[in-house]
Amino acid sequence: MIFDTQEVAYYVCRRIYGFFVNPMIDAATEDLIITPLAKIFRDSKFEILPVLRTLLSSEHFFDSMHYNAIIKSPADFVIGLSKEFDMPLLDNKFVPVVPGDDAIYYEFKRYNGIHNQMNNLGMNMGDPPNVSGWPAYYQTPAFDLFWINSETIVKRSEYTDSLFNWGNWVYYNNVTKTGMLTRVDLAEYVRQFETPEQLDALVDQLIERLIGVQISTKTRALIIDKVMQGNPNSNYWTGAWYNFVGNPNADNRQTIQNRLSQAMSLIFQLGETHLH
Amino acid sequence: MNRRNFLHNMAHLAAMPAFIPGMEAFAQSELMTNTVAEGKILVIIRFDGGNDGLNMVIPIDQYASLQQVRPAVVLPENKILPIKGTSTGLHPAMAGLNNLIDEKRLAIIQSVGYAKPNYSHFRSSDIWMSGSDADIIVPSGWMARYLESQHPNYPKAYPNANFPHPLSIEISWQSTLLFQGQNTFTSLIYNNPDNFYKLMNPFVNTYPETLQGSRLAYLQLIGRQSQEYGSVVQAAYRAGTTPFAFEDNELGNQFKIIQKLISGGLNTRVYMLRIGGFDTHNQQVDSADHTKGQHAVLLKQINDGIVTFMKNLDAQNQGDRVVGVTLSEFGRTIHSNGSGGTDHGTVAPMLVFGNAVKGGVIGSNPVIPKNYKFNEDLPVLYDYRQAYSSLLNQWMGSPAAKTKEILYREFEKIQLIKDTFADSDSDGVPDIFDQCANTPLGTLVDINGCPVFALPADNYSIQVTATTCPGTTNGALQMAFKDTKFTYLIDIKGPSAYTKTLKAVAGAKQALDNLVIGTYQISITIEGQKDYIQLFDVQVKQPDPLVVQAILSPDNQNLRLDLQGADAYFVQVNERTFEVRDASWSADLVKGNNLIRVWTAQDCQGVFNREIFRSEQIQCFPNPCMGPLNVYVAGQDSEVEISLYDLQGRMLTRAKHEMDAMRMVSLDLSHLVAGSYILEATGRTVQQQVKLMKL
Repeated sequence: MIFDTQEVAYYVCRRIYGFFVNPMIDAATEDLIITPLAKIFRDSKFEILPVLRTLLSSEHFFDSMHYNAIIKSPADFVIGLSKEFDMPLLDNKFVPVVPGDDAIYYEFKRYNGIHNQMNNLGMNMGDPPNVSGWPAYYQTPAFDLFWINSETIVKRSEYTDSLFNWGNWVYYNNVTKTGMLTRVDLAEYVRQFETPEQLDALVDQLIERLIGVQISTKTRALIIDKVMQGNPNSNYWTGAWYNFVGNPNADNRQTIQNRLSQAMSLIFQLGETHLH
Repeated sequence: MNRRNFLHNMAHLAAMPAFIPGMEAFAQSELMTNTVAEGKILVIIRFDGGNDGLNMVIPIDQYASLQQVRPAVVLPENKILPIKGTSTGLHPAMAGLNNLIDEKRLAIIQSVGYAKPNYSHFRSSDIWMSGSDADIIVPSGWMARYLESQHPNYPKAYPNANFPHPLSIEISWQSTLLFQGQNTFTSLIYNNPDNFYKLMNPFVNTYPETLQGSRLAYLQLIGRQSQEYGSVVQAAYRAGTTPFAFEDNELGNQFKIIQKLISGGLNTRVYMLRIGGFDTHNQQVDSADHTKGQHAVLLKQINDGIVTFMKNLDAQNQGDRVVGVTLSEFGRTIHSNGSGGTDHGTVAPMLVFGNAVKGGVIGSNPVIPKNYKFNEDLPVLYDYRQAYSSLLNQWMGSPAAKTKEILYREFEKIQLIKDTFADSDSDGVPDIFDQCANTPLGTLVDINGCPVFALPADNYSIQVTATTCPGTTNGALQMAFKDTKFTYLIDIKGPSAYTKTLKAVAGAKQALDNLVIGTYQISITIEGQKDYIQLFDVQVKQPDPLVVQAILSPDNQNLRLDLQGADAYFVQVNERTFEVRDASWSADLVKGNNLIRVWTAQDCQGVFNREIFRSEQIQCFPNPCMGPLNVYVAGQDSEVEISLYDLQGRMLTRAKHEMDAMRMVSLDLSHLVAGSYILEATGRTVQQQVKLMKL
């Protein structure tokens, strides 16, 4: 019955457009994008795929205007981080309560930790605040701005800072005082880049990969400064890198971590890393 | 605020010294911020899910009908707490609130709702939050519209000297439509103000007006707010106390936070708390005992929370500043359903509490229709916006015209606030004492509510322009005045009975020099302005120590000095002395010994001394050698001493050599066994070592 109405196709297309392109739909977008998409949706007997294919291969979708123009949801942010970085477990003294396959249990706790982190940032996946879902997906005119407030913005930074610096407790048992700590191994991470020994080139690659858009020269200089810590000699980084490559022991690895962690924290405190 | 409170607060307006650290000296007018501090507070408590009003506030005169239509949830008649002098009763979990009604500190507004009711949680919430008619979608909140009307430059110029604290705070995870304004959210979100986390991003970028730019600007704004407000809110939270402990439950914990913020001195004017779980479709009550069950647990939380909150506020003499109001998206059905609960309904009572509230039951009991038809609604007795406009007008000091603008229409007022507390211009002086009506917001007033003479925070700029060493008198101060209409009388008291008076006619700049180290108390009065005084403490400090970093170029030819600690330095290189005014200075070194000395005009900053030897080069060839060895010594030294060591550091030979025009010394090493040796040449401008290999 409801499929007989025109509005269904419009509604679904607006939601798709809002999710992938821009939640704020003006009259021109409604005429030029939503209406034709709705027609495709109806003509294809309410198959989603043709709609998605048309939208996601359109010039409009790739318009730079829409690039990096939506604030990442906690899911995008947290899962994005866990996809980008290997997060080895550091403190693995935790003993599962339920005996059995420990590896599976650890994996469960790891994913559970990711879920908890999303919850901590305002998105308890699987338990939306009400049947409308999260306000970021429907409440005009703020939409995705809902994800960011004075509470969640610092929690996002606390999370990324912990990943690069002191480690993030994926799970912690208050009684036994044991748990599972994870920390990004930055030495291993930057090893994947070309010429990691050259700091300028490395920072440019990090910016391209993690930020994805141009940033001001001032901010770029600030990132480099976080590595160099005021040291004028470029060997401060290059030497540390060669030391690590020549002898990747714990101390040399930690030196690389120390040189990079502040810069990485800063990168993830930039607004640009919260957009997609 | 009552009169006693107000007088108490006036006491520290009289002489508030503004402390000025170091060189940056801008007067902070504590006076202006205090008007904000004394602003009244509104606490909004939101019941999420639709509260069953008929089981919270019970029309006892309708009891027989209630028993008929809502048998699954109706309370036993003998357990209902009758409100004195009415035919209305309260849920047995709300004995504390009943006492507050007796004390004339809690009002119940009966049957609040709106025309054309919507039964969707979300749409009805939006209607209550936006303050719109049911059939009009308004994408902003009524509270945000009020706050933005009072603070049109929010958030750009905030926080600032006059408004250092958040305008409103939600104890939550995400903001609500209530606080969504034209520009941004007007609230800050906290769920643990103790947890202030410092970010390193300086938040100083400008962004283009694109989709990306608008997001980046928003992220930067929130980042900046989280930092600027976060430390303030944390400090208040830590300074705050709760003499009476709150219950450890959802609402109790939120009350505890705002209690600590208020008592810790936060000037925020609007708070919102939320408690969920009111969507009681099933198991609303314990089927064996209707006074128990999930609804009863929620009502007890509300009762305990409000009662403890008010006890704490009274104990801290803050009770007269705070009014609370409860709301829910709708009430529930008159009838009970088949699963021991009630479904989405329309009207429900609102609670309004506080010392300033004109207590009692407002409006008559709802009447349960005699021949109740399924899903029949109770009629609306009060539009919810009547409560809003009354609070805006009577408590928040919003004039009638403004209130009409905010709520799009004029609504008939309900008297919620006691006459003695009414303060139409929101200057902190109740109308009954106020001799000057309509004082603009933010104006400093006296006890009669009339503006007192005050100058803005940035009128004075006092700077320490020169430091001084102990025992010397090189210190200097400068004072500037923005407002040049006045003649300022300046009285300065300093160390060792130093006194001085100055008169700045038409705000002319004043300078003081020959000052010793110490604290100077500056009091400024204005000719013709009785009772006006501003006090400043200024420190004339000793200068920072001289810091010099000497960096030699890789070829040893050039020396760079990075200088820190003064505006001018004296640099001596050998016999020549330079006066340097830059932070960096470089010079070519001469061959041989170079004496470097750096000092400043002030002895106590210290002196930097360094000797740098720049050697001429020597060359040995052939190397490795079989026996004969030539040593070439560059430069002009007429005599050079050449020594030969083995690798253990034992000297084998040493001899002085006169240099000829070729500057070449010939040695014979045939007598040495094969191996490595060190050759050293020393002279006035030479000091070099070369490793040799003897075959």
